[in-house]
Amino acid sequence: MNPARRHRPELISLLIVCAAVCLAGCGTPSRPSAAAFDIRPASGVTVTFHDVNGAEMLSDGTMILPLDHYDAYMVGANEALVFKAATMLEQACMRAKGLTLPNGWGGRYLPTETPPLAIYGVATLTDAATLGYRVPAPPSPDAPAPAVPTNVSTAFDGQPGKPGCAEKAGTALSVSESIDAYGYVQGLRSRALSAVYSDQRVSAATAAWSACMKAHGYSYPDPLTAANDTTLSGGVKGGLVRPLGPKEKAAAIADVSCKHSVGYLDTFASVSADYQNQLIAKNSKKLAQCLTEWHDVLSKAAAIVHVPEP
Amino acid sequence: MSLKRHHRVAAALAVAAIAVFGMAGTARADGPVTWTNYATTWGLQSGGLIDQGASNSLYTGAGFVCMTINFQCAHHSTDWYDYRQSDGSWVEFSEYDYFKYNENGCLDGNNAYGGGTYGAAYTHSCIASDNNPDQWQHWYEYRDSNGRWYLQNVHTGLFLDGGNGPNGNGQFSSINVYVNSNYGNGDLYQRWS
Repeated sequence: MNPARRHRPELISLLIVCAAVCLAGCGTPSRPSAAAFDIRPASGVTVTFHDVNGAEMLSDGTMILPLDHYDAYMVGANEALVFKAATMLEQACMRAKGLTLPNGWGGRYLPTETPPLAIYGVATLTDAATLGYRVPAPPSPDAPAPAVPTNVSTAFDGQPGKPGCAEKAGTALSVSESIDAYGYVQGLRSRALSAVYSDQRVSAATAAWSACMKAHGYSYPDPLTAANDTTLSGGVKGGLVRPLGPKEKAAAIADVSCKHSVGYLDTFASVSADYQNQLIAKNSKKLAQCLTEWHDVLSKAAAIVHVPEP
Repeated sequence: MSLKRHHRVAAALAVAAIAVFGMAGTARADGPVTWTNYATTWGLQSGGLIDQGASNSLYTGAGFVCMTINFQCAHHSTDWYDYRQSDGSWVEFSEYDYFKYNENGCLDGNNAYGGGTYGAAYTHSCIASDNNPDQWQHWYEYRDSNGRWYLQNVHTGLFLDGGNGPNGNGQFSSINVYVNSNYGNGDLYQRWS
């Protein structure tokens, strides 16, 4: 799984059918032949590990895995395109009603990728030292959407049986198709993860990590238990959490150090790619349909924005 | 609630949940939990109306509707049990629903309404993981940089949103608690403690 941080500004969404086949595994007849998405590290981020399964471990602690090539929103340019098209449609719809939609409203159709913290815990020493077991803040502070009169929000959100401008924009872009595609890919990611966590290779790496943590004075069976240990931050799950303190920071640093020393993340990436490739091969028909759905949404967005599909 | 009673209750829940979820190997991380919305300060509550439709079973409120067993308060409507799943996500099991109705009610979230940005959240009969490959009842839990919790639906990527609380659209309105697109750290309706 990959975080939104790889949603980079540069537009590298190359939908090249032949290249996509290679990404999914050249010469493998059972793989989907439809266009997949070219996922590359963000500017300044380097690949620290890659293997024949198509796994890439990146210097920012994220991974590029085979199923990512079936998720259009892993590419920042695609996200930006749909967002822009949706905003244009929403604004036009509101203007037609004689209303103004302030900046900060609308266009939030796009799912937020799950951060790696939820998948394999903290992954870089920088994150450990600055964030402990917490997700980085968005690149720019998210200000709450400005308050608007009720008639404006109603026109935007709609009412039961009466679609608002948001839903109309989503319908025009066939966003429901991308929702279906995203959900299907998420289901496969989840199934792959279930296999990964119980895989012997990962279990061995987890045991080695746990032993390493023990030597540092921590007793955790696996990295996710450490990531969810709220006693480090002086609270309990569901309770108030204190600002990042030295106890949480020290544990997170030991956590990453142990992951590095036992090769936990590389193993996790490799095994994840292995299972994802198996699922891709078994579900090639449905994944090809997902790609068709993604491209339908992207082409409609491109037509509205009047730019070529990325 | 006494510790002794709690352990007994938790053990009963664990047996029920293992039967439902098949996850005996991950019990170490499991435990009771309450979720309080940062914006409203109200707790996430089951309405005790499992499977009554997406508009009837989940809201936020003061949350102290007490389920009495043997003349003792066993669970409030804000009580949930957190079960780690094989994919690393969590299931939120309503203790109140279990003790009140002897049913397994789990937090569930829909896709966004047709093309819209938000969808319904509710309690639904818990579905065993093996029969629930789409993971509608699976949630990722993590903290933002301020230490506040999110709950993100695995299938949809949408976030649990506390809406406007009981005064927003009526106590049993789906809009009270729903799933919504991510509006960032500034939206405290999407943050829980």
